[in-house]
Amino acid sequence: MLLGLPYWLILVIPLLGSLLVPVVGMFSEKLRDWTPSILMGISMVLCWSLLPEIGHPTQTTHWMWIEVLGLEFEVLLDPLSVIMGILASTLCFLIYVYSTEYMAHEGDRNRFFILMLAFGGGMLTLVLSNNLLIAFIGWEIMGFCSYGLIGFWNDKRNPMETEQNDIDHTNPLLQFETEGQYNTHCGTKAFIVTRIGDAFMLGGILILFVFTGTFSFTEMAADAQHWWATMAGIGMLVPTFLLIFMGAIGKSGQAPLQVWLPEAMAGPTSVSALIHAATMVKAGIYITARFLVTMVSAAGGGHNGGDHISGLQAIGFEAALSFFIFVAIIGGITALMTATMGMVSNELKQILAFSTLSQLGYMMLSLGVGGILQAEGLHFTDAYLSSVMHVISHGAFKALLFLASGGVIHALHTKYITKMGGLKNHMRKTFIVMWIGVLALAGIPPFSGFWSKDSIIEYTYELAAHWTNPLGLVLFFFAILAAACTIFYSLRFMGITFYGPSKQSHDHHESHDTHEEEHSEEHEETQEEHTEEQHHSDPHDPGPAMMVPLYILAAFTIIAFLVFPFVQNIVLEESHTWAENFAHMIEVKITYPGIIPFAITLGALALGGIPGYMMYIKGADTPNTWVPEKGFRRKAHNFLKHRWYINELYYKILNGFLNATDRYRVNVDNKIIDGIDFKSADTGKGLATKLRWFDDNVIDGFAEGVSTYSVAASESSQSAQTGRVNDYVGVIMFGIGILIIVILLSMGVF
Amino acid sequence: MQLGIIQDLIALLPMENILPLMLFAPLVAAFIAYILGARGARALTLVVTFVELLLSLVLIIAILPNPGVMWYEWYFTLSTVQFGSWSAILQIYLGVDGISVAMVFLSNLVVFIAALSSNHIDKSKNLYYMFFLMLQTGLLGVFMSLDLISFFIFWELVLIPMFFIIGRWGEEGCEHAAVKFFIYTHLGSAVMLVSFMALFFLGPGTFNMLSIKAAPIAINIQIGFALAVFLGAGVKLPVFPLHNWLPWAHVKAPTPGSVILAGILLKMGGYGFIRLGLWMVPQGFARLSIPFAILAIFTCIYAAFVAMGQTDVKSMVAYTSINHMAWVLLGVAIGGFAIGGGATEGQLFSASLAVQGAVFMMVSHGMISSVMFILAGQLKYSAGSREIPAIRGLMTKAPRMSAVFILAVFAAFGLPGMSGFIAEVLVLFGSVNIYIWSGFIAFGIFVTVGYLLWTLNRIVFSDPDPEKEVTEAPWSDLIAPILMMIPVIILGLWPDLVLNLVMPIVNDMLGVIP
Repeated sequence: MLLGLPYWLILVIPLLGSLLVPVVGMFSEKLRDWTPSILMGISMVLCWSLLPEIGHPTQTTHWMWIEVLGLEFEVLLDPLSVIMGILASTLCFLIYVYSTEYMAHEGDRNRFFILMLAFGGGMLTLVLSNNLLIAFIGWEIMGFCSYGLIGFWNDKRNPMETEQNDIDHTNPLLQFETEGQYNTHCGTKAFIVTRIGDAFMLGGILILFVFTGTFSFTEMAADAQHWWATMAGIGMLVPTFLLIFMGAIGKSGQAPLQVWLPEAMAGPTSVSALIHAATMVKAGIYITARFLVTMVSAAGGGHNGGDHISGLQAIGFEAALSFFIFVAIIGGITALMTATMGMVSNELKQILAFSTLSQLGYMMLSLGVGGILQAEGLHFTDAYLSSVMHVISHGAFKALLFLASGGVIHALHTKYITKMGGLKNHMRKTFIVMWIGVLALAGIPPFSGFWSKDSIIEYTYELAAHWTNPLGLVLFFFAILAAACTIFYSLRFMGITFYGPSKQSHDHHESHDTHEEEHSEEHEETQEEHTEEQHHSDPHDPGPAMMVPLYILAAFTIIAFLVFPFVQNIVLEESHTWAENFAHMIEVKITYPGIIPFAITLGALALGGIPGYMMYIKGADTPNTWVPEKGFRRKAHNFLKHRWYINELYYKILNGFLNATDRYRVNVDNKIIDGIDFKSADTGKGLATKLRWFDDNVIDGFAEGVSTYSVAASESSQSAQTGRVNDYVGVIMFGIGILIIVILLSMGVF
Repeated sequence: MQLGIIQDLIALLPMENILPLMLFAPLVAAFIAYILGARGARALTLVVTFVELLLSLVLIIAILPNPGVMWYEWYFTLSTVQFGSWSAILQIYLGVDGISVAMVFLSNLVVFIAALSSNHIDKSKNLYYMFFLMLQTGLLGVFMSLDLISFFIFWELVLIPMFFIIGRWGEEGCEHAAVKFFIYTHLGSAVMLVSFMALFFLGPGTFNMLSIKAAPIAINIQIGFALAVFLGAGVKLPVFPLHNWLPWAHVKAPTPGSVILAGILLKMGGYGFIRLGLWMVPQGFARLSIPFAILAIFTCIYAAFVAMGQTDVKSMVAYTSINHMAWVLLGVAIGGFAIGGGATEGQLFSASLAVQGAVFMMVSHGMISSVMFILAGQLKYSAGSREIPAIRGLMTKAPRMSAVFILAVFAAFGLPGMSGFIAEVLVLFGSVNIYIWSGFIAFGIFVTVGYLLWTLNRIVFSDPDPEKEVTEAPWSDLIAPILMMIPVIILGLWPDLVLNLVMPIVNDMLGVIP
């Protein structure tokens, strides 16, 4: 690495540096705010310097941590790790820079920056570790930090911001008095839901360890012929991988554990950006991709050679196939389902959250498809490349979108898009970068999202076209439909936020509703009256520390297509020239058979984009009446608004469970179990008192007694010392007499 | 570790005489301190103890390449008595291996921390620091000695300054405690001295430990010697029923006195068991493995319960020390099993773990109990009393001190991530594989966690009593415990720092081929 430094510095700098943050804070507030950026900047430079060392590290990658327990740390320098490391550290760095301004006026920034920096460190630990167990530690560091950061504003006393279109929840678990309570709840929810996945994952890791005897990815891959066949033979392969995949489902918010991510928006915006773009949700993708790589290399020689596969190995390939089918289905469902949810949400960041979920679904879909293609031997290898591309492009444009929307929320003090509007004149720069992000999200050429997403769709098409199983068609259909939904909600929130009349006001008017005409008209009138007197300052673009990261991300989003050929070379470890890759990239889109999925995608974009444009951008000034009060459209709208009722179902189950446990506590635990506990504690205390008495009086008493009695004996013998010569002489005479008698006796006189 | 450069640098130093330098520097400083007077004495003591601490770090790095052999042997002959074919050489013979160096480092660390926390000593300061520095010489001497005579000289040298520190600077009733401490420990060492003489005449006719270790000694004599060592070291450790001097001495001694007592004096017992027992007369010690193990387990649980019944915080901490030092005896006893022969490879490995755990426990407990005693002493100044029922609401009134106290309690009951956990785990791993019933000692952990948390509940997390004045401890009083918590956490996360030192010599002792 750079300057011959040891590799572990990359993750140790942010992890230990996070402890340094409050120390720096004692000296300088300003420097403290910049500490995470500086430290992560160093890590970032180190990460970039790994690029030429992929596959052939120049120093040792291996350190013993606790020798007796055989726990060691090893850095993994394969393309996937390094690219993820570069992505994570770079985005973290930009987000930390952004945070210095964004959080400048918040209290308790020590806690914020400690957790932020540790979060980045956790992600780097995960992606760079070659040891599954240590990767899991990084995974859990992220879980904890997300909990602390999502609930960061736990102390807010103001009531929750509401919006007329909100759903009324009847469940007692969903009633919050203050915003602080809500924020805490969201943090806890994120933690618990991901923990559900983690619990399964840990089980999977341990089972895997039982069979492989190692936590190391590379050793697993090298020794694959052995454990692969054994596990497949007793049918453990699929269950184990599914358990590990459960962790990825939880972290990456895949169905059915997607419920935590939309609520995770309660934290500061930079946290959302960190979670969505750089770290947490990408962790699940990374782990799945890691296993794909491991399995592919495990399958590697044997399968492609084709002639020396044992029977058990064949079973193993069957197992791998069913695992990847599962992954693909989960990804496809998530991509579509969450995209539909995003179409009706009214919270700016929540829409972005749904879009994240949907894009994550794409990535999973691509991994699954890649796996299926590989396992079926359909000669479209390396489909996971498109997933990696999408991770990169999504990381950049989603960070861009979040950070930009953070600026909007910062300026307007509301999280609902329905209370925004007409911002394009006030926040010109934000408006432009936001458009760039949205176009990338929607997959419009030539922005970054297009290349990666379209490549996923392409592979799905290949699967649909070549795989005998009709499931391929279904997945393709899902992917296309999700793309249509994506462009629709992208245009929708852009339209409502930036176009149309300005709705921002500082009084407590009934907020605007997207589908109620009267309301909006009233609102607009009052709005105009208040414009002069109540707008102390117009919403304006944020300052340079917030804008510069945005420009960098926007620039990347635009020129990504120039970068992707490099990425392809790195990921696939090929040595084509840049121009070859680039030409191929373009060529695939415009020649047969690549043009078919491309055309279909364009059709889908039109399908979603045209109504979206008509309704929200062209028609931004006229109120939207597309969803009537009643009827099918309203029902569909409600169904989506309630997020398919999945979230609420969980809460209902949870509430029922809590009630049942409460009954158990009152009836059984308090009376019987607690009774036993208290009795035994009392017994313990009683025993302790008795033993103390025993120790003080018997053990110590014996020793003290010996000394007391010997002192007493010596004292009582003092009375013999009378000092009178007569007494002494008497005693001496008596003694001599006794001696004489004894002598005589012994001489046998008597 | 990247120590190559440092090791090269150290190799350039004249290291042959580092041991006598470390040993006698405090002794010389002691007399200078007495002459310097009150203020200068404290400054000198801090400087000398800190330099000693640095020297012990140098020593560690220097011997790290091969801690399994004796380093820097140095001797000074006091006298040679000759009669016919008999000759008795009385000499000061020094040398260190991994275990000794670990204990030397611990002594210097604890003495430095104790010197820092001596800020409340306010009468006859120069005399106090003179005794203090003499004590350090005694402690280092015990851990460096390779000769029974010098071992005994230093073993006794520890007693005298300690006797005065307890008796003169202690609390009310300290004279009684000092005499009690002296009688108990002196009785133990008297028995030990007799056994040294007996070993000389019945055994190989030398006082040199290395020669004794190498010489063939009849098994009965070995057992007898091990039993005498048990009396001498068992009082120091202490084990039931020889433990009653300890709560008295610890409670009545001034805070730094308690710190040294708990921090190192008890370790002399543990070290005695390892050096004189396990290392020197292994075969004899091996026969006593089971009774020692049973006694250790009983002591652990017994002391835990008695600690639970205490109302004085210091007294509770004192019994906690007994409870924890029992782990050392267990680890050593398990080591004895392995030497006894007939152990499988796995059992040898477990025994090695257990003995390493015992040494680790000594290091870890030396640090943790120091923190606990400093804080318990601090309670007297902050809350006006050490009686548990009289202190309430420490968290509200004195959050800074409470934070350190809570951390120390966590460390004491062996929270993972702190050194106490590693020690208990190592001993338990090792012992359960050999005597399955020794897992019963885990019940001691259970009780320990119970009463320590209960104490926290009562004094830290209770509602404050508005009538009682509780003040926050000043930083000057908290600096010592906070400094001491740093190695506790470091060793909890990176136990190899100590284990690397200890492992080769333990494996050598038990005949484990790594």
